[in-house]
Amino acid sequence: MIPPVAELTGVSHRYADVQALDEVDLRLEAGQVTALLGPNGAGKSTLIHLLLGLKPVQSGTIRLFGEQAPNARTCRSRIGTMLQASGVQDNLTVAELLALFGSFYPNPVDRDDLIEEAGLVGLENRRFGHLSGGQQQRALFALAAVGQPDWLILDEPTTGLDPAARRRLWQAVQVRRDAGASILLCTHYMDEAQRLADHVVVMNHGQVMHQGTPDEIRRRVPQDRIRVRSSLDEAAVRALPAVQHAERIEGGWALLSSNGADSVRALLVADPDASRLEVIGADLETAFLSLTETEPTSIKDAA
Amino acid sequence: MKNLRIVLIVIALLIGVLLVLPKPTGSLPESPVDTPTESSAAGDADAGPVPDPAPPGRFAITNVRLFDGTRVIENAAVVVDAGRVVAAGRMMTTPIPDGTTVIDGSGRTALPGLIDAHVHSFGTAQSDALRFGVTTLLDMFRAPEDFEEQHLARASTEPTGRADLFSAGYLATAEGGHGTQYGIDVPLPAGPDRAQAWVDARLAEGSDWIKIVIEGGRAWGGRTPSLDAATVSALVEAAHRRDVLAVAHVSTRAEADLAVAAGVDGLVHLFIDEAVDPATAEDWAERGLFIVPTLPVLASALGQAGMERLAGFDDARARLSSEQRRSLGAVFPNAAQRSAQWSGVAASIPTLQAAGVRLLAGSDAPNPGTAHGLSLIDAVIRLHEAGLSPLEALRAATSAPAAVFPIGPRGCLRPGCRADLVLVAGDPSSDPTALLDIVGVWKNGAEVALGIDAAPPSDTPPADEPAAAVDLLADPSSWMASADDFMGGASEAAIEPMDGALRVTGTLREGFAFPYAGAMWSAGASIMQPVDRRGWSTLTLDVESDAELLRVMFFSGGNPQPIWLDVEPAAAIEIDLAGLTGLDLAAFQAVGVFVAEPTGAFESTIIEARFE
Amino acid sequence: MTAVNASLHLIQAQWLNLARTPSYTLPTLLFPIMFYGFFGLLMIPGQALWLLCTFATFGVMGAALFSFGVGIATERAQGWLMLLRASPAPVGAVIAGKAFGALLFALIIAVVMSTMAAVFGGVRLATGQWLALAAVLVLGSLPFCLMGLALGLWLKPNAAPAVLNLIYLPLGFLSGLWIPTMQFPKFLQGIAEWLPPYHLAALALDVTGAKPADWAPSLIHLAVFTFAFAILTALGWKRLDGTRG
Repeated sequence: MIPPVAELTGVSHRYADVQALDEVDLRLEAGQVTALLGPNGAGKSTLIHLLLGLKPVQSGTIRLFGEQAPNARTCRSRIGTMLQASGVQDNLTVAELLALFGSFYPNPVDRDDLIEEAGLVGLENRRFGHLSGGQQQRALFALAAVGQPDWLILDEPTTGLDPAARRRLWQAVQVRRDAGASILLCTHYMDEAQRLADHVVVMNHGQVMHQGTPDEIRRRVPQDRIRVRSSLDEAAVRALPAVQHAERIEGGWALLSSNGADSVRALLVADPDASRLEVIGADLETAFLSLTETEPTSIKDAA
Repeated sequence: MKNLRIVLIVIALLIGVLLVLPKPTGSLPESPVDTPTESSAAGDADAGPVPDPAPPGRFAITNVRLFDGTRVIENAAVVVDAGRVVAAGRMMTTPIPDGTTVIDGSGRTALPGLIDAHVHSFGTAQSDALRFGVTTLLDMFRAPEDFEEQHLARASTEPTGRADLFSAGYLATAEGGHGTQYGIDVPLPAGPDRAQAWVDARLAEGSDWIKIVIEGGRAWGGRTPSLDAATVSALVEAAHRRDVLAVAHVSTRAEADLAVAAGVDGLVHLFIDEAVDPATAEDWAERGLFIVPTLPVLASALGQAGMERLAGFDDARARLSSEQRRSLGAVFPNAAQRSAQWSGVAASIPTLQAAGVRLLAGSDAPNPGTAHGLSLIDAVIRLHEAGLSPLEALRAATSAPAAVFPIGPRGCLRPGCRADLVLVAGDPSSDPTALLDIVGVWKNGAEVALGIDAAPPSDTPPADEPAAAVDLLADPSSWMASADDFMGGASEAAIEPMDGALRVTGTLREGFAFPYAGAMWSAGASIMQPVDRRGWSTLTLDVESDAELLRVMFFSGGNPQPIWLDVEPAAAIEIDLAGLTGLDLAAFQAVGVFVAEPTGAFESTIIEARFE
Repeated sequence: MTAVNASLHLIQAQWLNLARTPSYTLPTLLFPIMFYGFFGLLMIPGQALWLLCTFATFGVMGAALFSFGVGIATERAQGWLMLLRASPAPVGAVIAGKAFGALLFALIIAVVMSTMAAVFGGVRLATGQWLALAAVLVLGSLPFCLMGLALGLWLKPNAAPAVLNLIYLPLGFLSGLWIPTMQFPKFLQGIAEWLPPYHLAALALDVTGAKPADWAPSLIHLAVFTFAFAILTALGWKRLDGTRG
């Protein structure tokens, strides 16, 4: 049985005035792509910094690769990181950077394969500062991958990439997952998480709100959006079954329902003149927004 | 890791630069500055409990105008420690360690000890020169007997009362040529084939460079045998093969041309038969030739009296020893007839200077009309009068000779230089005659007494106590064995005191021009030290000997040539000192009782010897 | 092995960075060298050796303070330091890479100034003394590397250059690197003896024979100073862990 790459128990972290992490319990299973979702300030960056040993653990325990007291340096040699807002010395070329980061790891990969995979062919001898934003992002991914890490921690890896480059990076992540690597993916793009993640962790206010497969997450939220032209008043609308949220739009209502079919059936009974009926199933993004917009206490009740 | 190799190469290159940075020059193993251990021992006196707040030999001259050998720094300070200059420069930036004796130099000028680039040093030359601020003598002909001692003395930074001496040793001349007339047995190079052997023999004796005489006598209205061009060339080549300088004595333009064609490094006289033309000067400058014009001796040889230069400088006159006064007062025969030639000599100086020929100050003391020390100052003044700027003239007696001759960190006042300095009133960098106004002289950081050992020479009779009668045999330690082996002869002698008398044994052999062997009595505390003995009138001797002829020699006035008198051994020899012309009782040095004839073993006993 | 390999690569990266940023490298090197040329050789003649020792001390101290102080502060802002810290590169190798740059600067300054002193100032030293001077200056820049590192870790990146200048120039002056301390009023002389550059200059002056010095007190002083800044550096490094972002 492969131990989880990371296991957090009761981890809290506090900055001067903000509780960044509050009693977080979390298992990141090996061989999976875990997507870490949450609005800005949810505590994702703090969590990553704690995992990398860039900040000391204030309370709680973190076990990496099953080890009781992880040594940051030995663990780091199994980790490749692509940090948000991390800079690189602009004067070094892509090849020099790869050689430099390769020297940190015991078994660096073949440079040419990596360059091809990251879409950097022909850019090897260009200085980092002379690359476009997207090229820089790809180069940073290559730096994370150069050490053949067991665990890739990618913080917003596709920001600034064009659709083609984004798909190529997804492919690179999947290739590594298929080869047995674990990936922690921090992203704002729900389609990215939906497509790549085996496991999704939603954080807000320093706490883990929900976790599960993308489908489980999706199912946990009001699944249908209903738009309709109708003369029903607010009280009538709110009285419809399964309606959780109602909002007036021009000539009618926008509704969120946990069971679209029940709601629509009742709606048509209550207002036979209702027209222009639209029912849209929620995607992960809707689910995410819905989950994180709610007050934590009420969600806790729900969970 | 190509770049890493570049890094290593860059670092290696940087360290390589450090390895080739210039080292102090110097022919002897002199450390450029004190080693840290030595100096920290000397410099920490104020930090530790050692009750020695001002280490001897450490002093500073402050608020002074400083000529450092090259340029003048106003409002400067110079700090001396343990025989070396440790700091020199602007007052503001020159550290003066606590506990340093400070001498206020306001209104005065500090200069490096001066260098005379042409002298002949014997007798009291080295101490006489020092009293005039000349701390280094470049000798152009002398016997090499004491070279070992001289080399040790000049390598030391211990206080000394004598100028440092560097020398050519024996000169190279033709048989019967110039240089053979002084009674010194000069080894002759005798042809080009022998040149290398001759040069090597000089270097083995301790010569610092090679001097070659090219002197046909024509300039002086005569004929003298002189070396042929082939021998001169061979000698120059031989010297250069051993990496030493070859310099030439010349008197005429033709002789100078011969020397230059042979490749000499320098001329140690300017010729007198014509003025130098600009084209020749340019050519010489291009060859890197240097010239020691020796204006003082040429002036004397061309009829200008040496003493006249001293008018108005009574202080300087008072510092002359009797030997300096004697040589300064002497004249060359027929000099006045040649006085018209001086203008040509004087005119050559600006031509040579303009062309860039290096000119060095030299006096050729103690030739007639010159005196050690004083005449070097005269040489500087004359270079200025002939057209050099005061600063150029000062350099000719300091940094210029130090750059040409292998004499180490002399002629400079910068950290690491030898602490030879002169402090003069006034500003020689605007008027070189200020050099005559000497306030103080330091040799190896020790102040030199400016007065002379004997009572101050004056023209009035002495007022001091009449010297009492002296029994020469009372103190056997003032006697020493003496023979011509000292001068390169083959005779030898030994002495042995025996109750109130002195037994002298030895062997007289041919080998010197006038063989002698016997015993010598020194009047002063040290050998040949001059003392004032003007109260004496008679020497009484009682000598028993198996020899036939005795020679009594009197040394005085620093004159290397003794005054002598031949007598037969007898019980009551009385010598009237007043009857000996040339004897200078004001600076009496020694008397010797020698066997002069016949050759072979001898045994004498001096039973009585008394001055009255 | 990876630690050594990583150090070599970081040294190489530092070299490339310096070689490719002449706009930073040249002024850092030229400032003290020009300073020596103007003041040490032109304006104050006859003091080439003394001023070589003090101005070179001034130069290596500046190179160490700025390459570490401003360098680390900038790399902190850039995120480069964060990326290195998140990587398996040992902390020691990261600092070794930076220290290499400062030591190389120190060596270049020592060699160029020595050459100027020899060529234009007529300074003559035994080969051993030239080497000893360079060695004292290069090794002596280490305490200032630590000082720069500590300050770079504590200061705000955009404030670092100004604050470092505020420290660097008075420190150089008060330590007698421009004007010997004996020209100071007495109370200022007392201050100099508490400042590390004064002691480094004293060692440089000693090995060149310009002014004898006692090694023990100066070495102890520099060691205490080094230790103090090593602690500040360690604290500053830990503090990075505590700051947000």
